[in-house]
Amino acid sequence: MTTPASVHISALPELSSLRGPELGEPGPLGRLGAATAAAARAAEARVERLLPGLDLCGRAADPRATSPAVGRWRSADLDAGALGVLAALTEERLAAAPLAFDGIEPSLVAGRGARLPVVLDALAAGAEVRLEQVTDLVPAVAALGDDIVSVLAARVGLTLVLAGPRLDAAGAWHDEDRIILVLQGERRVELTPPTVPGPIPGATAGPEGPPSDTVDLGPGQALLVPRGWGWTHRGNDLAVWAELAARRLRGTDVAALVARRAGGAAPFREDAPWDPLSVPPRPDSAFGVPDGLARRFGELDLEALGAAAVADWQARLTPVSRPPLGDLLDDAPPGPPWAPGGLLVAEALGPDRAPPVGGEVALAAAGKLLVCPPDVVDQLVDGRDVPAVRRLVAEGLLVPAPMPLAHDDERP
Amino acid sequence: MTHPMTGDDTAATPDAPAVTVAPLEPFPVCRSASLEGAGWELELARAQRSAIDASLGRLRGLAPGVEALLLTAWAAAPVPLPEALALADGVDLTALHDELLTEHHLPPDRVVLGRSRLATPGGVPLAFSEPQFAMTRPLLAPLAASMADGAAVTVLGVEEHAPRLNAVFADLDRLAGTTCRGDLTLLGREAVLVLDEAVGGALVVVEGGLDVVTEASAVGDQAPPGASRHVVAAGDGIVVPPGRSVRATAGADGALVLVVVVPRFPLADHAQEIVLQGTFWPLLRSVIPGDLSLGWSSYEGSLLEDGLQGALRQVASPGDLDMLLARARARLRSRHTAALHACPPSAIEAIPPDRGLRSTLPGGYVVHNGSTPDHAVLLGGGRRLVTTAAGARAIAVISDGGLHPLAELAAVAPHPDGEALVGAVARTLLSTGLAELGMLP
Repeated sequence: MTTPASVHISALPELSSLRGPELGEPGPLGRLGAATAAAARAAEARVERLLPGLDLCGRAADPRATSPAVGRWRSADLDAGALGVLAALTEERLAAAPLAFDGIEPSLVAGRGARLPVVLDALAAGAEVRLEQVTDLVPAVAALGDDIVSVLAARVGLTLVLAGPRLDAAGAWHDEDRIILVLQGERRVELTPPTVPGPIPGATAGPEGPPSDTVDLGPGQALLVPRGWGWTHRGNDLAVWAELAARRLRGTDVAALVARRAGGAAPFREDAPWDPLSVPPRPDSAFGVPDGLARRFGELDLEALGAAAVADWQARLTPVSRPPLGDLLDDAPPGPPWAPGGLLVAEALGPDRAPPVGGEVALAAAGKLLVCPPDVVDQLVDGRDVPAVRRLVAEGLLVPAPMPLAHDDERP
Repeated sequence: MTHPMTGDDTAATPDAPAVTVAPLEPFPVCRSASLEGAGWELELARAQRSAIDASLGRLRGLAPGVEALLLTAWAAAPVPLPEALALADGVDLTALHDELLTEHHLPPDRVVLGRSRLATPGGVPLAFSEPQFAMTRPLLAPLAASMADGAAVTVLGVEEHAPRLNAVFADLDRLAGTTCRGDLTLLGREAVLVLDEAVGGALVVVEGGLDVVTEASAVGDQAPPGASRHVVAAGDGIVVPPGRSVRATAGADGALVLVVVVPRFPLADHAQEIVLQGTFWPLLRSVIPGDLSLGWSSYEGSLLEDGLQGALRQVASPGDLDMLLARARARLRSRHTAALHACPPSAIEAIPPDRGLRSTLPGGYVVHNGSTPDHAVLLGGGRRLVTTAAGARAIAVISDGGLHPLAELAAVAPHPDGEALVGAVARTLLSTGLAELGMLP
């Protein structure tokens, strides 16, 4: 049996060459490709079932679908209700959660030691309290976040929000999609469409003008606020909701990778000219011709770099959920653990790292590099409960398989 | 978040001060002052060209062939630089190293205690941190013992502690368009100095001798031209281009080495900046599906129709390289070489006639595109200066690197209140570190 000692985990090198495992390739990588595809399909099915009406899978296929959507959501966290969440927010638990406040004079909350009184005062004053690193309080929502990582190939963050009963029209806009899952309270939300960013580099303004949509949200309802849309909410009672922020791959990310990797290409090694010697640029110089940089970009294999950027992005997607120690000690995990961003094959590790030797396999997930014997891949695909696989879960490369839903057929 | 780069906010107002100074915005649209320009821009360009020529002349006077520091290409063969120690311009580097190490309060990140191969005798630490101060002081007795066993100690950025050396590095900054640095390393017996391939510059041997082995980097698709080996004697130097890793071994008596670090500004850096600047470019803001077979499309534009190549060609618009070079110069930090005793208490109110004003910016000023013939927006030293044409002409005078009396500045600023205006400009520059005073010859 492979022991954890044979599994080497490190940070994923910047210049790694990555690809997805192919379904048809022989050996464990082919089985990994099949398992990865199956895990992605399962995640899609869960998202369709748990978040009906938001059409996240359709949006994954066509990013041009950018209108808000209202739907319902179901999870064990909703079944437990907000009371459980609020009961868990002790002084000790709050001390471990980065807090942010909105809609309150900063001096009222800054520099105060104990957090429970601060949160109480903030809510009484009509503020919005935002808590990070609270996946343990809403584990089913975090698991849903893992599924959204898979479906949208997005970086997903989870925030728990408490809104005071006197809060009137707090608002925000974000450069990423937001999925609001209401646990408690009623809120009226007004949505304002985005302004179109200018054609030249410059500030992207927040949305302006009157709202175009108004929706009333209550427990069990979900709202998708697409990237760039502004939203304000108001209500008369304490509201608790979870926000999943989904940042998807953009052209800027691809271009940034192209620019970073350009440093390894000879045409981009050319130094800026030294003016005082008035040395005329060489005939092949990028300097001295108006579109020199654009020409140099044209000399790169942009198709390959684009694919590399997508693979690099996916290999750095981290799970939202954090398994507790109990999940790692249980005798019988519910199923094979999985990587929401996928497990990619690292074919090369950049100039400073030697490739794996002796038949070892190099895989990448969650921003980490895993070098292991092929049998670990088999164990992983088969969901065998062995120390090596548990180690990958403990290291945050994988998350445990989601628990089967109770009363699945009763879900909307 | 970037700022709009229209330049509209730079419009002059009737009661505007002689010159205002503000931090430089992240991505200013700017250009180098042009010799084909007119008015104050032409004067600024001429002064800065003069400063560059003077810097080159001074450096060549100290060490002929010094331009190899700037001209050698990536991973090219090293170039011997005989009598390179003259670049220290008479500064006693041995005394400077000892003084900095033992007497100065240096922050921990300025001192590097490196060991090449041997363990500290008895495990004695080589340095201690002063309680309650972010200072590191070497423990001299154990350090001396370790040096004999092959340890090394480096003080980074020594030029800032010696005005004459700082002036030499100001000249280097001006020519390279980047901020250069001098690191002084004392190598113990047969100790090895290892430099990363990203470091380009020169090794100047102050004492002892060095056996320098370099090897070309194999990063990316560069074909490594192979290894090189040079023996460098005291007083001489060797230029090592970036793209070569260096192992320099001292002899049995050790060595003292000044590493002149000259950061380059390769096209790859330009590419990164231009992409960063394109953060808000509609095409690049597109969301891209993880499955490329689905096409690259977005409501904000389309990489599907135009492709990544088209997007990058649009972002890297014509003229960008010139602008990026200008920006780099505008971000170059100041170098100060004047002494406090050259600055009488009353100088901020009235500059004495025996004192002259000099710009502290090796990178000089570049011109914001929002400038007009009557209204100058100058960028330099990480700042943005807004002034009148007369103010810009006064700034141009002191941009040639030399010392100039206030009267000379007033003479080129034909203005009803020329003297008062120039005085106000001088006070602002002195108050913001953009100029310094020196004794006129």
